[in-house]
Amino acid sequence: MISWPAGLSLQREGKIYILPTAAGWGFVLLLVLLLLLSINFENNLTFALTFLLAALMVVAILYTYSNLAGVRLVRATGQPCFAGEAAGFTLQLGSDTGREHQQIQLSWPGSLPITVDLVEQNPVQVELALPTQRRGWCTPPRVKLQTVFPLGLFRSWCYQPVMARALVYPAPLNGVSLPSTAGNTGQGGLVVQSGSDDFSDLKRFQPGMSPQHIAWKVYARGQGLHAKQYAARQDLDIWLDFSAWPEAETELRLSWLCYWALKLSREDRCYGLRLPDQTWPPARGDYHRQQVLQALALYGQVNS
Amino acid sequence: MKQVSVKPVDKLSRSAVLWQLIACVAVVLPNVVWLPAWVLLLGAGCIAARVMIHTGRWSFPHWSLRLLLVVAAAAGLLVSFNRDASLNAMVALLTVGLALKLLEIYRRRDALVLLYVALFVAATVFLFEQSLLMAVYMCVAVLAVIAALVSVWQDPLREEMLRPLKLASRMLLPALPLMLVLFFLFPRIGPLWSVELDRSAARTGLSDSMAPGDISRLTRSDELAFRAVFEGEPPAPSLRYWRVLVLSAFDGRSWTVGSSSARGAEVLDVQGETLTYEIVQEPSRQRWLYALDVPLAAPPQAQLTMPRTLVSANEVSQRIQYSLTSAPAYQLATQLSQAERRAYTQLPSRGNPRSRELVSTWLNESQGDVVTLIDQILAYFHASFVYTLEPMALGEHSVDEFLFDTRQGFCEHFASATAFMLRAADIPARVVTGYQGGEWNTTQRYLTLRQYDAHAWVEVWIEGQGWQRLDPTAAVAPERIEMSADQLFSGQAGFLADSPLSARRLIRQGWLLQARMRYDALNFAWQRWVLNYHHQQQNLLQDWLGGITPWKMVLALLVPGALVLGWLAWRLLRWPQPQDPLQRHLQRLLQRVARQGFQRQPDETLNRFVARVAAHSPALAEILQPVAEAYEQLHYAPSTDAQARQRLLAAMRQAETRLKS
Repeated sequence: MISWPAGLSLQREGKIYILPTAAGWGFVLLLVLLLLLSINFENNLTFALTFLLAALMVVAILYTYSNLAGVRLVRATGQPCFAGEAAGFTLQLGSDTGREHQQIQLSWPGSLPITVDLVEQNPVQVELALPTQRRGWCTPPRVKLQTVFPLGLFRSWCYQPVMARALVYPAPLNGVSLPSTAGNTGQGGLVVQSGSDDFSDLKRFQPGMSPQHIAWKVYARGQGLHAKQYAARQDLDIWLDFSAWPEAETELRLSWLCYWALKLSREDRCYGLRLPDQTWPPARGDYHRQQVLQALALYGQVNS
Repeated sequence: MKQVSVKPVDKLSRSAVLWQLIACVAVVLPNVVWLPAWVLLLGAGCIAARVMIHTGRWSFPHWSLRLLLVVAAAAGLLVSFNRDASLNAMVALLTVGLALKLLEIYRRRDALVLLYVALFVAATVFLFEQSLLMAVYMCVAVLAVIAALVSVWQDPLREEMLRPLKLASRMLLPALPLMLVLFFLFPRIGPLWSVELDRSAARTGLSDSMAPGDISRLTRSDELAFRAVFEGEPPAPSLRYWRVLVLSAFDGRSWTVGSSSARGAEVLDVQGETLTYEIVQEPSRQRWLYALDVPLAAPPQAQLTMPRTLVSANEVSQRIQYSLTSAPAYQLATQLSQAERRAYTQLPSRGNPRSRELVSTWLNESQGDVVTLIDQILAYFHASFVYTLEPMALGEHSVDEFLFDTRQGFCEHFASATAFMLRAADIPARVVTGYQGGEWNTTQRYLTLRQYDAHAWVEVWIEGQGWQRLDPTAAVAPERIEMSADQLFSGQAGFLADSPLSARRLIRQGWLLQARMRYDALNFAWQRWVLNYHHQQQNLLQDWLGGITPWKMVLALLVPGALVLGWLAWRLLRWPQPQDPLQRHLQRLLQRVARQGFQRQPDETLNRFVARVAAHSPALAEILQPVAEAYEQLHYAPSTDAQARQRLLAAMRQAETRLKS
């Protein structure tokens, strides 16, 4: 099978800058000392060595530049997080120059830099974390790629845009108890399908049922694979209502709601969300939780 | 694809630690011959300790131990070098520093300090030894240091030893032509402040006095005195008299330079052609320079003495190079003042009575004719004297004993006796010491003169003719003048007694001699063009650039520099050509399409691209459509399907021809 390159033209995102490092200035100092030595002893071989090292320094400019040239972000995806945490981004770094690129450092301001080689593997996947403060979409700044390889005398760097964003949920805050609002009445009915509170029945196991619920004792008795059925005795509809605490400010309310959404999801309870502009009917499961959290994250934001 | 985790950025890889060890050893190795033994022991100990740490058997030394080592090493240096701040002391200090630093390298910063110091030590090696072999060796050593530097900056998890070496050599290769350009062009200015190079080894060579046995002692050494490069043909062997000192005062046993008068050089009347040549003189720790009999003028920074020898302003402590013009045929000082005549006929009032008597007898016979007297002296020598390297020792009346008792001697005996007899006859005479002959190197056209070529002869002043060279040795042993000293003395025990292993003793003919000549020529070229480049630079640049102007210098630097760097940039940054012919074809085709304004996006399939093109230019899309289809077919075809490849190739060719028309 022939494989086609992703792009056939040199795609360079922005300029590549290059400047001497501290070690580079140290090397210049060494060259000056060597030159003084050569001049004072009128020694042509030390002259030659000095010039060789000076020439090497010039060659190092090209090597450091070419170590970065052609490297680009092929793909980026962001993982959601809660405000105040660091959002994880999976960056895929690649080049189709056919050269080796070593010791490329990726960083955002304030983030822990990560160094990779594009030698044995190309492209390489890198996990880079970006600290977040506020909920909503986190759009990372351009990522800085820099390298001092091979001699450490020069640092070349460039910035490349990250075509990805990460969803930042509100920071969960445990501060209030859920008020008993209109929907949360009395006993409520039994929900048969998938509660987890009390054992109610055995059913024949079918693919798709949770393996956690397999009745191993029954199975051991040789009576076949059964799943235990639990019934959650609970209020039918728990509503997380934004308007429950009219005196609190928006962000605080969202944080509270976030906390409860996470807690209820963990307990596998059925809950709904009421925001002033949107309503999610009670449900459970990962997808529902994601929907709810996303709604909380993006509430009131213009470009959601 | 791997998930890359956070690594400690600063740590050295294991291969980097090994490279530091290799680099340090490579750089210090040439200095092993003179470094104090304890420094070598310390270095070996530190390397061994670092290897033990490297293999995990030991841990890093405690700071108190390191401090102890530093204090002990400092004390050792103070004792060894007696607190003098010589070059040797500095290099020893740096070496000790390297050794101790080696013990604690762990992070990048440690390694950088180590390697920078190692490069400086590498440069100081050349202050002690500048042979061609050493230069080649140091190239390897510097390569090791650069490989170590690369290894410092590579992935700390990399273990391969060869990887940094390969990259280092790839980087040094383009640096070489740039280095040559800089070497040629960088203006050489004199030392900024004076430095004393300690080359304490005593040197053999002519001294400013000549007693019996002084010159013959020099034949024990084959040490290089100087080399002379001739533009044209060299002078005939019988004319190769290299004038160094003129000795005019005699105390009955030894000849000395005597008091020099402040007058200018004696008047020279050149007769016939002159010879221009260049002399590369080895350090002699003396002030005089060498010139073919007799020089027309002094080189810069030297003076012509009254009897036309050359004396430099400073002691010759480094190899120097100068151009001279000499006249083989000449008349020198046809007029002699009374004071000069007195000085050149001066003799001790007593001593050597038998010689004086013999001279007065001959004077009577020749009735005062100078030429007849000289012939008589030479005939006397020719009759019964032996020319030998190891004459018997002479006592108080040295001339008498030589002329009547021992009757054997080396050139200084003959010269001294001849000058004495001439003066006894009231004829102005003086002794000249220098070198005679030399080995002609046919491959590179130069003469090599060694200490065993040292010689002494006489100058006699004849009315109307001035000073005339008179070599009594030629009367006794004419072969000394015609053959090289090397050929002449090879059988004698004393010859080269101080260099028992000299190649000269063993190799006198055949291809080995040729090889030795070539090796010598190579060394000489190395000395002239590399080690002494600062003497050549001016002329060379003048020749090559046709005049030295700042503009020309800048251009001469920039043009080759740009060429080399441009080539390197092209090598490093060019976009690789796809290996697959299909890919190359497609690339060409798409470039052609791009010129019409349609650029395929990186993430666009060919089909979608053609669909996009169709929206703007249906005609173009129609040409490209078969290509896109064949491409799609190939993608879904089994990999062995050669037909699908053929179809795509044909479709692309067709599209290309249609695009051209």
